[in-house]
Amino acid sequence: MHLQVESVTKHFPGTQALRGVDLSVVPGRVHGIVGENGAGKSTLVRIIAGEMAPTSGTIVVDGQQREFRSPLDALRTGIAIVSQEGNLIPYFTGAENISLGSETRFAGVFIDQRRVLAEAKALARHHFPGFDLSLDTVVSDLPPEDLKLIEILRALRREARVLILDEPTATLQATAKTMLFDVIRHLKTQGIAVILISHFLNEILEQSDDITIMRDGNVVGTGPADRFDEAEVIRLMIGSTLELRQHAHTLDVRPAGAAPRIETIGLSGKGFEDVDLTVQPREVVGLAGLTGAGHRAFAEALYGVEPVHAGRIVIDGHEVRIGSPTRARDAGIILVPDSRMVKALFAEWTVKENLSVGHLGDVAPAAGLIRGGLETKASWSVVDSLSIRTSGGDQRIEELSGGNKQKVSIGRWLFSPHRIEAYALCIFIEPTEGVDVGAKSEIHNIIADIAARNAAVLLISSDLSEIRALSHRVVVFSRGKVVARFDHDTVSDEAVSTAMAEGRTAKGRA
Amino acid sequence: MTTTTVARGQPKTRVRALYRYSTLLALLIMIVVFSLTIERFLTARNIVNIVQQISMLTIVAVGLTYALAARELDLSVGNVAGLAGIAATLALVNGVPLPLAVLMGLSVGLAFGIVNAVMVTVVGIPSLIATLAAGSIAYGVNFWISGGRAIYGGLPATFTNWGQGTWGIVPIVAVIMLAFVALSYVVLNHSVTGRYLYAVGANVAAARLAGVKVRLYKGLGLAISAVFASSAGILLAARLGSGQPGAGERYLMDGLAAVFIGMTMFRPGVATVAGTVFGALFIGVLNNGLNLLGLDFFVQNIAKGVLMLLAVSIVSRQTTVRLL
Repeated sequence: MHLQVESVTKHFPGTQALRGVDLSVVPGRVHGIVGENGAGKSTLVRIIAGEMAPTSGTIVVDGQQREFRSPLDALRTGIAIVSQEGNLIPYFTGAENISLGSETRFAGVFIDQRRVLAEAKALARHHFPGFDLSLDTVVSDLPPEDLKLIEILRALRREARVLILDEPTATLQATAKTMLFDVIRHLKTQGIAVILISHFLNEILEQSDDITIMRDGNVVGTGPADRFDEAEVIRLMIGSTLELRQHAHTLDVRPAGAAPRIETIGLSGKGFEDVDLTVQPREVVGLAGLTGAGHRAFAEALYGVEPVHAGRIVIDGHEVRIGSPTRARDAGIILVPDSRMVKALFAEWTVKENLSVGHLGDVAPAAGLIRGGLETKASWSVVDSLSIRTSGGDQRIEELSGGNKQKVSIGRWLFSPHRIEAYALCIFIEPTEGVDVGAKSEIHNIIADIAARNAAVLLISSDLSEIRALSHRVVVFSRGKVVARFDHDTVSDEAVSTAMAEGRTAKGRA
Repeated sequence: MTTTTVARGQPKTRVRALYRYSTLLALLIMIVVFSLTIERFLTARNIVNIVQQISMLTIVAVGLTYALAARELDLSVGNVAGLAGIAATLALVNGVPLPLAVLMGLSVGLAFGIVNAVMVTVVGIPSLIATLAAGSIAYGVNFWISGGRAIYGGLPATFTNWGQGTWGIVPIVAVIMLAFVALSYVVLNHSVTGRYLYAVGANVAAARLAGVKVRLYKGLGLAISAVFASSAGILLAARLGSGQPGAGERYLMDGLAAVFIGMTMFRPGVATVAGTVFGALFIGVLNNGLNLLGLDFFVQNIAKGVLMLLAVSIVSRQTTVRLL
């Protein structure tokens, strides 16, 4: 079955998730899709699998245009998806899961348990010859690789001809991965097309016949896998966007020899290890890395989101212990998270309420009562100084555009002007995620302004050009460790991509 | 990644306005119908009676409003109210001075509130389950210490006067209720505490990253709910002139119904003090009218069940806010 995706776009309120994507999936071949978080991979495969409808564009199956109204619709056409988290019922057996929705019955209503098991076993023998898969065990007792196989069998029972595997190896050990790849090769021989999504680039490159690289809702590279090497793929995944090359940002010259505002010594936690980092006042340090490289976990640990296991955090020469975001905030650390509607904003609240919540105590001078006038005045001054386009402080945040929502998310920490000078560390994670070009450059200016007021700034972005434009230094993470450090003058996309790739292969060899 | 919620058939503006005021409209219609069919309904005496009847309910429902503001459910309020009434009257008939006896009743509420809070925020049990279990415990302890018998004889007149007395035409219990309402209105609408309660209810992740102590405020909502319930239970004993083991039970259903009816107004889907007071009034009028019509008690249960379903349907048509 030949699957073609033609100029598919997907628009969400405030974001353009796909901007005209083409994809061609050929029977008997593995097609790898790579891209950073937010590049649009998941949206694309969810559209292919009928979980959501595209805003525009078409899906063509064997020359025939198709519109899937539901995952079941796509499944009937022969397209199945095995999602990352899995979709099995934990207290059902493998055979029961495989036959779910297509059980063999007798007398119309009763499930024929014996035939269900026999059929599942036959299916397993046919597709996974020589592999011993227990199908009469409750799946919650099975290892993760068996769960993947059972999900694949369920798709095959429904006669899937295109099989989408979303991060299938995320939960697997090395030997289990090898086993899964054997299975995939066997599926190919039967003319099944596999769409493979993985964060492990080496896997994608080794297992795929074709690959497609996505960034920011676009396809930025596609072709036979042997035409790409890892560094090239990374460069395409994170590389600069044209608009930002033109946006030359003037960096503030940082005072030489100033005492560091923040220092981490041998900091370790979940997802990162032994990180030493010193940031001067007025200095912006960009943290680069692929998803799961540890830079984000490190930054979140500094804000108390996840616990620190070992090491020290020193602010202005004093060691601090940060156990929660509340304590981080009170110690002068602030964080502007990614996914603003999930992690930062209260959708049903007004602009004013969203701005004041971080330092509400500052407009409640007596008895814990909010002085309405003070709250309004302080929010208005934030709305003014950040040029937030809103009809007023009482407008609901939901009604704002992506860029203006993001300004509110940042503006929350500018609500009490007297506190800004006291901020030791400001962390920005994907600060321009899903905002338009104009707002992007405004937000860059806001970040530079905050840095100029004596704070240390950490910037995390999957857009390397953004990091380059704003950072005095770039620190590259891979597999939880710092693998390279660059100065603004020496940093280049190529150097950073190579560092990311080297960190990975070096670890792979070890 | 942007997540989107698909609004379930967002109705048009005019229809939405109708939804929003539908409960108010229903109350007005109900008052008109009762006035026309029941002679005694619109008399001063009956109105005072309604106010007296709903005072305790309002206190329970306003307490529940704190828990629901923080998006936690408290199913223990009815039985905690009952136990507090029994504890206070038991202390009184055994010669404990009035202030101390009241304090003991309130401590029962506080203790249950703290247990609920710890179970939900520290142990991590969903509040639906934790408070259901706590309610069962309160019910059991209630019948254990009371022996299932009413507690009376030797209750000081000062105590029963809180529930039965009036200042002029105004029932004392209504004044006490208004104090609870006024305090709660200020706390929930104008204090940092109130804003934080709503914050942890609206978006836990965002509240946490904004520096709000999420567990503290979730727990606080549950603790206040239990203390309010116990206050209502003590006042109910004062009004009845005795500690009745089964007295508080109906406050769970009536209290929740009041809060959900209230959620249809002001900020749809959000528990507010003003909405809850309106909801309690609604329930009070309904109970009173159906009583005066001489209908069987079970008609009230059916009516309130239907009403709660209607109110919640209205809320979910109006907004995409998750109720619980």
